[in-house]
Amino acid sequence: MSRLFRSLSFRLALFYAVLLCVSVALVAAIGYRVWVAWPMQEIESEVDREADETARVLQNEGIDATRLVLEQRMRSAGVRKSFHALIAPDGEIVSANLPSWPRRPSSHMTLIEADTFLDGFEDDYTALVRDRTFADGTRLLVGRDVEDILREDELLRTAALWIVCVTLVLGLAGGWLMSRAIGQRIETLARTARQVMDGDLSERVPVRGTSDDFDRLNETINLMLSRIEALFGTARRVSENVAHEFRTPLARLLTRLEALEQLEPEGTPAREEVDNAIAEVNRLQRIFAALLRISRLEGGRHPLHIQRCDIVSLLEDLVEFYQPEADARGIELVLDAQRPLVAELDLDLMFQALSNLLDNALKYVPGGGRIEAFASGEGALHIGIADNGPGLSREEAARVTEPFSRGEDTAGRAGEGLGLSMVAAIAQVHGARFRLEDNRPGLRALLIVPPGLH
Amino acid sequence: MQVLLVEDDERLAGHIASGLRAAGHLVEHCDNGRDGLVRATCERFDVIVLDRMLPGLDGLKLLGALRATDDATPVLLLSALGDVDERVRGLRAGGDDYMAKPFAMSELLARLESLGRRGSAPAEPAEHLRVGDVEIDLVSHVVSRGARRIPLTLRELRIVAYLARNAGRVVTRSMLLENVWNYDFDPQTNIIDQHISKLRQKLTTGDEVQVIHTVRGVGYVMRVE
Repeated sequence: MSRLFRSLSFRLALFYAVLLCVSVALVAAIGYRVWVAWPMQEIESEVDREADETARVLQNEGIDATRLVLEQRMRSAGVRKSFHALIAPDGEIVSANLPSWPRRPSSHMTLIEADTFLDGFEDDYTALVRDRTFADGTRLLVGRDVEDILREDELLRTAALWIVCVTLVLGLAGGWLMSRAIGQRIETLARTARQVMDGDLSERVPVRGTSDDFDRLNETINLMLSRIEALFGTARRVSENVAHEFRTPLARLLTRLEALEQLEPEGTPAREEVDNAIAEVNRLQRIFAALLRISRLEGGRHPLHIQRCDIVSLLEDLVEFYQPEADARGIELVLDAQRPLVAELDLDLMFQALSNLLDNALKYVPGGGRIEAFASGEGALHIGIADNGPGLSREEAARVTEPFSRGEDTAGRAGEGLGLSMVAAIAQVHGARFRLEDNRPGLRALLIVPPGLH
Repeated sequence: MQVLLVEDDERLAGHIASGLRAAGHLVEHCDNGRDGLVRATCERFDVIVLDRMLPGLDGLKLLGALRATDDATPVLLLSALGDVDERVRGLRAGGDDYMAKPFAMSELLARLESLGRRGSAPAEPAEHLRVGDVEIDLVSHVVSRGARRIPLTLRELRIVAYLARNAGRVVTRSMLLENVWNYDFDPQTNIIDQHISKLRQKLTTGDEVQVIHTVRGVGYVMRVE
């Protein structure tokens, strides 16, 4: 519900409904003034005038003359039927055509129901009455029928109430429908944006072909995506070509250095320098190999060999492979996974990804620390490496999967800053999500592989 | 060994040839695929070093044509395409080993020696290996030295078996990784060294002679001196 209220289109529809209600109320108010309030005022002053006249007759000519005047007034045909009641000081009703009146006189104009029965037919009347009591105790009520005006009043009220109710209901329903229709279009757009963010640059927003506002927006966004994709492709090809073209010259460089190495006897400073140079060339070669691999993975040009794998034995092999290194560093390396746990994935790539993560953990976790290779999951497979080392800040975690970026504390630690980029690329080709979470304390690097892959 | 080198890059070919000659091998060089195929089918070589991408005839096609004539000469593929699936493709096409450029000459030599031996003595799965006084029974998974039985993990057994099969020849770290661990991956640190040192501790106690030796900058060799 709160989500509905947050929807702009729904709020707009609701605002229009309320605006419509206000205008209906305004029209009703004007109608009330014209058809109810003004006629009522006129009749009030008419009744007042008649009451004054009758009072004068009563005071000047006595009660009998008044009775005659009143009875004459009753018989005379007027637009509005006239009503009266004349009560003597002793309580005797001298003359009256009002069926009833309040026991206590009121100083205000009062409305008295005065339905009459004539030949079995009921006529509805309501009298607007001026009620006066004189010094000698004589009570005089003079009034006229206002039934038609009261009906107008009621009609106006009922109409206004219905219109407001119907408007509000239609406004709410229309707003809901509108927000749903617009929400769906926006949701398709957001879905595409999310897929693009997840790395699938070839994703496009569907266009309906109706050339409406959303279609035009979506077409523009699609053009933007095409442009971004083209730029990305260029950048990727360039880095791939660079890595590729460097290989043969590097191979030559390496063979020359090795030739040089053979010329120098072991132990001389020159030989040491040559060995250092060879180590640097090997490092370069590893960087290029990793770059090429990442770029092939990201570009979807690395054929996947998806197979059903026993995840626990994969982790066992991984832990076994790194156990000597962990022992040498005084780090406890444990496995947390239980058979049976099988998943469909590219075994070599997954091993590479986990090996990069474990390698990183071994670099950053201090001696005495603990590293855990874990896997679990029914449905989506959660697999990764958790440690209790220094961990990563939120900003670092967002940045470290970029090529050549490393955690802040990297002084003196080996690596080319490509390990996590490769993990991210491997996650991407598996349709998996790669997350770096706080392990409180430490880092929890996690791959979430969806079930039923490819 | 007689080596046929098919490589179009003149300078790289020169370096490889001189490196092989310095190690005592006889080298014939072709700079394109067609000549390479003609020589490979007409003459006998112990091993062929074949570039993956060649003018005239692509390396993989040459390999396919050679294998189609039932020629089983070991072939080592060289390629600037170092990715894992390229390696798999090369090996599926009938290659016996695969190396990405750039590579260390020592690595190439080590791999060629291993291949050349395989070519001369057709591999029949040995059940029993012996290097000096170290005996490895691959059927019962028992490794012993003299009267002492050495308890090894399955992985350590595979390492020592691989080293023993190549006894006397250098085995590089990447050769170990490819043949002992069944994953195609690239560890970022030299963990292999630590596996070897653990293995050494188990194999050699007291005043026994060391059987696994480090060849600096290249790898390891198993032999009794």
